[in-house]
Amino acid sequence: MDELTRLALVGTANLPADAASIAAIDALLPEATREQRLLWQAGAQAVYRQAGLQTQPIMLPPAAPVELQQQVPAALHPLLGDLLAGQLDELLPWATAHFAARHYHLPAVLLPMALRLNNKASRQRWLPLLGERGRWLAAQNADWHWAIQPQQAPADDALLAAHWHEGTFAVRRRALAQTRQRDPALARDWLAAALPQEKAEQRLALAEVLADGLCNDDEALLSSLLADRSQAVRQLAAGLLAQLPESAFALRMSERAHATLQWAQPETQGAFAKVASWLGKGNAPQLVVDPPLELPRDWEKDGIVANPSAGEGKRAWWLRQLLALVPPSRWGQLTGATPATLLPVLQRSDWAEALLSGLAEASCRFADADWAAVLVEQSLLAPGGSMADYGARLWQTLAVADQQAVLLRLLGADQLDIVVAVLSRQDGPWPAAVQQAVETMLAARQFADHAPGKIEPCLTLTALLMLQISDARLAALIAVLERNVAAFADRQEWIYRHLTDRAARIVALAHTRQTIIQETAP
Amino acid sequence: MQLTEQQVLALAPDNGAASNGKKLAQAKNWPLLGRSPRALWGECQGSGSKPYQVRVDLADFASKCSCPSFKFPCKHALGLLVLTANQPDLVQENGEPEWVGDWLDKRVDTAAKKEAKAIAKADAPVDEAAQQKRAEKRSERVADGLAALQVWLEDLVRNGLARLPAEGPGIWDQQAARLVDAQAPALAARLRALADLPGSGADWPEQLLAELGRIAVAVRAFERIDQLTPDLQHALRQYIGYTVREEDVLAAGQPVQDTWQVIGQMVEDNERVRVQRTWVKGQHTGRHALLLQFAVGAQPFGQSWLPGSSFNAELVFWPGAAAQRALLKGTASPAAASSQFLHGVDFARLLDAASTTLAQYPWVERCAAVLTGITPVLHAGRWFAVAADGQALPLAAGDHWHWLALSGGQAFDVAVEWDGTLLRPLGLFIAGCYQPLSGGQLWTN
Repeated sequence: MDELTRLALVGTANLPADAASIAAIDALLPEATREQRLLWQAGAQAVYRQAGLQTQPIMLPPAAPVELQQQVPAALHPLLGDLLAGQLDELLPWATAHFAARHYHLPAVLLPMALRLNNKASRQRWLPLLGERGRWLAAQNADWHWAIQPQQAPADDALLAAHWHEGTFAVRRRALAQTRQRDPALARDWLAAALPQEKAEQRLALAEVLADGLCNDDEALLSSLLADRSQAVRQLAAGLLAQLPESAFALRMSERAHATLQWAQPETQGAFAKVASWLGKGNAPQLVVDPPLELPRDWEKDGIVANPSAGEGKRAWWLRQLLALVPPSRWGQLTGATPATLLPVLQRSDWAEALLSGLAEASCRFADADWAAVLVEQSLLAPGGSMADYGARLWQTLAVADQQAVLLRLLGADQLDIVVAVLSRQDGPWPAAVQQAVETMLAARQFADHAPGKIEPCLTLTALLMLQISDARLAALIAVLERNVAAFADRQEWIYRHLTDRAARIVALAHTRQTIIQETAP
Repeated sequence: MQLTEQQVLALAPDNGAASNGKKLAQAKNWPLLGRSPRALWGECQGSGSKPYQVRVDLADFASKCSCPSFKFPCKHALGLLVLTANQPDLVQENGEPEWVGDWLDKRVDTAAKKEAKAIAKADAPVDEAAQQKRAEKRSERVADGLAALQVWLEDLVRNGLARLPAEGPGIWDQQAARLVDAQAPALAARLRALADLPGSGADWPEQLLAELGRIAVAVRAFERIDQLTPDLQHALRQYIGYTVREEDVLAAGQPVQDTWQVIGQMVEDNERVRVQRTWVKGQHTGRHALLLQFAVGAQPFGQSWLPGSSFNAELVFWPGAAAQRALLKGTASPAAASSQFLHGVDFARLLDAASTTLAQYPWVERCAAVLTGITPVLHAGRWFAVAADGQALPLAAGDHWHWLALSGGQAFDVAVEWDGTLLRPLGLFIAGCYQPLSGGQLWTN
């Protein structure tokens, strides 16, 4: 800070001495008060400095590397802007994948907009389109580092240990997760030492790391967590222990399950059995379900929660939790029957709801595709309640062939809402048979014959199918849509106007898709 | 002429008009399209039976539409421009329909009438005695106001600037209001602009003292204004807040004929008034001129100058030393747009020119220039404009990522504003297309 500024800050009243500026300026000052002289000195010096301003040397960083791939055709640039701005979200997954597959990159003018995206899903979609220029740009802005391929952290135990002992919580958790992969025993030691000092939420987040690379050596630590103060941690530990088939916990759970669910083999002799087998119910075993009347202490110690949420009976709740911790394949081994045979037995039971939802949870936990296949339709068709929560998770557990079969059955049963729910979650192309079936169904259908609530899923299906089918068949699909919409064009009710608007948007999207395909044709 | 979508959308009065304009920029909405050397037109099918007739003057991008919208330019005019930018092949050379020709002729007519009126007004006999009396009265008021300001400034430095951050902006507004009463509005605005400075950054004491010092020197200079050259007298009067009426400028100023390229545009939003600064550069004279426009609230600006375009016209400069502000005389006619800047300078010549201007008129606020071969660089958290030899000047705080993305670290000629300490980018040509960098009024996102 120069003398003039200091004097002005403190005030001439508080500092007796005058300040000097540049000699040439001071020499020209006329007689005046101290304050006037200070102001004039400052004004003249400001002009003097400004007139003498010099450039300064700055290192020129390297320019962006030359693009190796081609830029998206110029005609599509306005469209790209709309896609980035979230105005064509229906097309986004398809369009970004389409451009990426053809190795296009974004024009420079749109790069800052793409790099400013802060939603993880859309970042992943645009990432392949950033090009050399985009990555070069991202490297210079800390907020944009997500766009650069993460540098594989050098395998450095000392660094990880430092992170674990000194970092913020997120850094510690990451260090723990990495160490878990490199040296499971060390990670376990860290965890065992750290857990008693952490809050419940942090304990849960840290203990979740154990799910990766779960092995028998984890049993001791997990067993100790069954006594944790936090219910969420106890449940996590129970779930993980259940997945260790040789653990004492898993054996205890199996025993309890066997005691609670008693299967009786069907009689294979006698007239009654013969009649039953003619009726196709022959080989199904009998089931007696008898959950305990009071929650045993040792169950509670093993992570079974005592009190259900409102609306569920205590015994059913315990039963459900118990079943969720036992591999569903156990029931097949025990009875020698397939899930399909066992399902009706379970459904006939007084405890059906608890049994099925417990099994659904277990099918997800143990990734049991066979059980998922029989439970998924139950779950998808359930109007609500405990089963309805499992639809999406069971679907992920299914084998691809089963997914297709289930979809075709749902379509045949005209369960369009559910078909829409499942297909809109489906990433990537549909199985050919499903695509064909949806197309046939839409072509044959007179939308206007149905209630508005039934038309809506047809529109959504058209919008989804529009992204799947080849360009050549798109015109036919649009024609179907337009014919159907024309049928209720003169209805004045709000709901029909809404449907007409939606249809118009779908047609516009379809045309946009066509434009993209044409402009990017080789 | 090569238009770009960004360039065109910079004309939009608001976001809504911009996005609606973009939606209309599709061939199917336009049953009729055409262009001539001086205009662009089209018929846009709206919801009514009769299509809207849209016409755009290519000289200054003024537009007229038969729609009832009070926005200006309306979405139809923007749609026509965006369509022309994105698909120039759709808009073919054609004979001007009557409704286009009539409008263009009427515009020329109006401009001529305005000029004639201005001259008539300037020449009109005035009551010289009354005018003299008014002028004396104002001089008195201004002199009193400046004397009071001088006392107030002295008080500030006597008690010390250090207490100002705790004082709040009230004292600045008060003193500014007194200056408005004393009929020194420009000085009042300068003072009001200082209100946010105390405590705002590490070097606020230096900045504040420098600005107060300049004002004090201006007050001192005004006391002895009779001893200054006529040019400096004019400039100093404008610095205080004496305005020169546009009629007088048109009547008295010496017109400069040239092909003017619009090198950049900046809109500043003050509390009540939006100020648009359009910098144009004479392609033959190399002279820079500033076209200022003001609009209250959301009102549109009277003229639309499209950055990157060029026009042939006579401009008349305001009187005074280092005069920059100018006014269009008559009408402009479109010139063949160039796809680059001419007369670029390096940093040394920019700084030289700026010092020369300071020597003529020490209160100069800013000047415009075209710099050759510049790259924006983020260095230690601050942005710099760096030339090929590694020499640099600091850039004003702002989002320069757009510029960096466009340039990819390559050097480009760029139009800038220089305020004596910081550069503000206005725009640049990339592959023959003008890309605005002045931000703020871009409705592209």
